[in-house]
Amino acid sequence: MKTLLDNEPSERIDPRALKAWFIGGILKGLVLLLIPVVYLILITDIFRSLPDIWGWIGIGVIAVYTIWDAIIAPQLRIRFWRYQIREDEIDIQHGIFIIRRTLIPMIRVQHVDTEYGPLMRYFGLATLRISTAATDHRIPALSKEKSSQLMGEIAALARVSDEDV
Amino acid sequence: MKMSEIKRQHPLMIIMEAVRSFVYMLPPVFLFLLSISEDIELSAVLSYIWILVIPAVAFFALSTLRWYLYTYRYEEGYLHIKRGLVFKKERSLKKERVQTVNIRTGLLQRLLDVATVRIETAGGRMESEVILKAVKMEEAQRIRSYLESGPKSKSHATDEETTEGISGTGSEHDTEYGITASYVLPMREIFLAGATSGRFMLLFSFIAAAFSQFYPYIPEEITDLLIEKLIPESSTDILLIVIIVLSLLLLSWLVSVLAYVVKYANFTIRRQHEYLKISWGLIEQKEFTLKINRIQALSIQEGLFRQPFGLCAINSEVAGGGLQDQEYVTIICPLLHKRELATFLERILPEYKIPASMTSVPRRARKRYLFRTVGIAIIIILPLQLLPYGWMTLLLLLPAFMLGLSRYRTGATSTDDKQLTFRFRNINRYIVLMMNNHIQSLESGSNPFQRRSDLSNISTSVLSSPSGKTFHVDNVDDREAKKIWKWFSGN
Repeated sequence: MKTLLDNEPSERIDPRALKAWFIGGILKGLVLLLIPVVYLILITDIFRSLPDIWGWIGIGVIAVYTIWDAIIAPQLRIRFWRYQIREDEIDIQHGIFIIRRTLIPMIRVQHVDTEYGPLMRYFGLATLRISTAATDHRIPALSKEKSSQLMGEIAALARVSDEDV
Repeated sequence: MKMSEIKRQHPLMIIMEAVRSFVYMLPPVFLFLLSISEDIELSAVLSYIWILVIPAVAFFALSTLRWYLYTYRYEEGYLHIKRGLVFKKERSLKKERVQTVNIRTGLLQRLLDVATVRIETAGGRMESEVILKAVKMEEAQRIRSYLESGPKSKSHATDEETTEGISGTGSEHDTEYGITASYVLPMREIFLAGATSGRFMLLFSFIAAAFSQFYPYIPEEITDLLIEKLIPESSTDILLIVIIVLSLLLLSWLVSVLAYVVKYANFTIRRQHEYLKISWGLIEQKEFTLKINRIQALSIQEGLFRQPFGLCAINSEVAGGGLQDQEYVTIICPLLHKRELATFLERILPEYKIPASMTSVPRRARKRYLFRTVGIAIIIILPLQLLPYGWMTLLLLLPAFMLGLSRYRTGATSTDDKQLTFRFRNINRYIVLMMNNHIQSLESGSNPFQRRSDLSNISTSVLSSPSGKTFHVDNVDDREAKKIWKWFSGN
């Protein structure tokens, strides 16, 4: 695999992310599935002129999308997700087709947040959000300990190398 | 008084939040009742009004929970905030990054000696703002003095509306740039700037829309007279329309030139030490003082109407500018001949330099640039072929092709000791100069096709009010991308 620049960032995100993304994707798929199912069961029943085919097409599209969203995309995403926190900068790489590599100098870091939804919390994962004055960057699906450790690390480093905006 | 203890806001927050949620709920309910009002009797509704107690209690409970879960504490130069019911959020706010701390009190709050504290960090987004809805007044004052008492007390970060450019703050460049220089834009140039500003197109659409509304009310005698006078015997409707459109264009152009001149007359920019003083206006005069280190990027814009005449304008991205002024303050010079650009910068803003040479995007990027514009044009045009006269849209392919070609030719980057320069074109042509220490983040991205031909898109984000701004040059040679990466990483 050809990378953007010679030295890829060293760290990967937690493999438990695959599970969380899988279940999240399936749940999203199930919710989306309600639309064509309701269409097939109720709406075509009430308005008899509407053909069933659209409902089936909808189910097909959602099935394909769910397979992509829950199984394929997470695999690709986790393969390319890399990050590295150095003393004076944060280096993030992510993407599926378009791979982006971002460099954030430590002195630009304004605040660090950790966020976790119910699903992430169940798997003991958290998202680390790094904000500069102008941009937001996320490192998703780190283990909870790791993310709070990084949060402390970045906060300390950002504070040491402080300077005017 | 322990600084590090975990604190909650004043319980008044519960009531404030609950009342607010309740009030927000009322209009939809009211509208719903209104929509079914014909079917039911008012008295029936009134007898059920007690149902409102349920949401009231629910909101109250929810707000109590929210209040309970919202904790904050400050220690070692940080303000830590924890909140959230389902989605937990933690935020650590660094003292040095806080721009302003506003304290406000409403009527109800004043009775209980409670205040709302609004903490703004740089950048104008919602996310960069922390609001403590209700804390005791003395606590609010304590938070403010805690956050504003930086170790180096950088008080200049908030506002520079000083009347005189006294450079008392001991900053790095203070003595280095003890410059006083000024530039007054001649009246002729301001006319030229107005004439080429391209704003008349906007005005034209307004005037045209207004005209189409009023056209039926114009007495027929007048239109008849116009038609007879203006159009020889074989009068056609097309000709009339063309004449109306042209005269409206001329009118809006004249009006926009006049408006521009009135607005920007006497445009003067003066450099005094580390301040820029910009003033303009004929009737309403405005003056703005800008500290140099608030300028985050300088962009030299060659508008479509200006480029043929070798004219350009200089704008700047400014951090933390007042919102109401931001439209004007970004203008450093409304019009300048390109050949004067280097001298202007040297005199007024010697920190920034136009690079002597830039690295253009490589030849192999050309097809990607062309594909982008022509491809999009084709996607837009294709469905239009179904319409009558749809084939006429095929004419758009030529300008799309030209735009793509021009974008390819414009795309270039360069790095200096401290400065990164981008040259690119959307519709207008831009040269953007950025200092290393103002770039918030650097990004390089590529899709599989770009990776195959060693190209990547380079983009930078800088701080600019109301929100950040991103500049990018597409399809840069990977070698150049690496050079920029190293330049940014090394410094």
